[in-house]
Amino acid sequence: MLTEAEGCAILKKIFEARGYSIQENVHFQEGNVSFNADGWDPVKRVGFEYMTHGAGDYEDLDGDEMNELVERMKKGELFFFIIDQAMEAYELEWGASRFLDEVERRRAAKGGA
Amino acid sequence: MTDVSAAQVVRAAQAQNAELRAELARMESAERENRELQKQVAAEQESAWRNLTEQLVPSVDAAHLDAAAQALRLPAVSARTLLGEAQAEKNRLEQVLATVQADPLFKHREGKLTEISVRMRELEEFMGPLKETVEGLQQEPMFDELLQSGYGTEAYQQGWWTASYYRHWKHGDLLVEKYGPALKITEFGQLRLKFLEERNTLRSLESACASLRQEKHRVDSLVKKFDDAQRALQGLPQTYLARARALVREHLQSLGDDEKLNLVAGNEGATLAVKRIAGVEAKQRYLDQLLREMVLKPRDDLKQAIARNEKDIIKFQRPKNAGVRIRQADFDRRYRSRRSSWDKRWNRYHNACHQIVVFDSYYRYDPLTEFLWWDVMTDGHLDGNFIPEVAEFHHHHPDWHHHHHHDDHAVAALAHDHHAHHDDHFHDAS
Repeated sequence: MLTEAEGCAILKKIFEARGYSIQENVHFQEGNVSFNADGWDPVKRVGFEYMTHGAGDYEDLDGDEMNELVERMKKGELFFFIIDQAMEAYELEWGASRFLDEVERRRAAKGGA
Repeated sequence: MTDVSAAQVVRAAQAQNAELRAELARMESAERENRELQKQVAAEQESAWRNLTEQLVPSVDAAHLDAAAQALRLPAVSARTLLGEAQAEKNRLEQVLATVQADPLFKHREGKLTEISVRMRELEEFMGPLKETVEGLQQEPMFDELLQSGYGTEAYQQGWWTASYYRHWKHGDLLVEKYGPALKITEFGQLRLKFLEERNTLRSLESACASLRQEKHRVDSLVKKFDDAQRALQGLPQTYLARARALVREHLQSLGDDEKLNLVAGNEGATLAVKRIAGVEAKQRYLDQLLREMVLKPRDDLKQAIARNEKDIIKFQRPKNAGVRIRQADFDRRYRSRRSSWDKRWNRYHNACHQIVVFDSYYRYDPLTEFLWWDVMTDGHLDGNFIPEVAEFHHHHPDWHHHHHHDDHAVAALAHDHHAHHDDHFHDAS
């Protein structure tokens, strides 16, 4: 199983290969949501966040904030890939690629890029 | 006066320890041999008791039983009591046989067992492929998580923004790829349904198998009960003969030798058997005491001597003791060889063991006179005062003189080591 640091490094590589400019450990604050994001492209509004109990991520991004984030993802305003369980590298790589496909599909459906 | 260097002491202690260790090994081997002899004597005792009870109760004929009951004053072995018990047991066993024979399951057991076996084979054939799918999927590391998460159903709640969602997707696809062709399914939802369906069928079949196994067990139990009862019935005379003999043994074991001999007076064979039992018991005691006094106790002394030498070897090897000198007389006393006194003790020990083991003149026993088995077994040629039981006898009979069986010849030649044992323990070196 990957550690959070190893996972973040893999995700940064994959996101950047798909054209995103990922900034690490960015403080994200919009509406009622405020947390320290593991990776975030502020221009394309796509990022990722590891949710591990050890790192206190569930305190940083609580249930209400997550609900608000999900609602905004559903509307296509922004996208965060949430890593909610430990996994192997091949699983994370495969999942991240499918997630980015989904982001593109949703943006295309909405008419944006 | 001459003296000895520390280096010489170290060499002498090392040499003596080698000799002591060899002697220790000899003692350990003697202990094993003695225990083996004790086992042989215990077997001889069992045989003596068997012989006695066979003499007293030759069969379960009423006449033999009553004769034994009367002679031994033991009503428990009278024909009325013992044969009455045997008859009651016979009735009980016959009742068991009748009950089992009347049971329909027993009556039709052959057909039933064949039917069970055929049905079991059929069920196992059905279960084979189902087990392959169900157990195969249960062994897949991700299958249970997918099943629990509801993946492949409308109840599945994982959001598309989570990594778990994609992990489930990936592993769901891998499982469909692996099991799909054989099961003719193309989606995980179908695989899930197939699994649940086959698992339910398998559980029903397993339950049917368990019922059949239970039924077979019932038949087997009845057959066993029947066979056991039949065997017990056939062996009833032997069982009650053994019981009568066990009662006799139990009764006699609680009595002293004089009482036992009193009860069997007039029965020559039984009288000799009682004497043999008493003699064999004495053999057991003597072998055990010989082991204790002549092997185990000196062995403890030897161990202490070895430990002391080891301590001295370390002490005299220290640089600060390099110049120490030991008086020649002390050195000689401490490190002289004990081999010859050990050999004397071994001769005495083996001689005693041999005379005890080969002794078989049990008829010489007379509990009504002053009597010491030790003297009878060794014919008074071996001093047994190192054995507490013998020493105690001599203490209470200070004027005791054993009358030799084949008297008056070559006594002097055989009474070789009456005093020889006084210096055989290795006290100086310990």
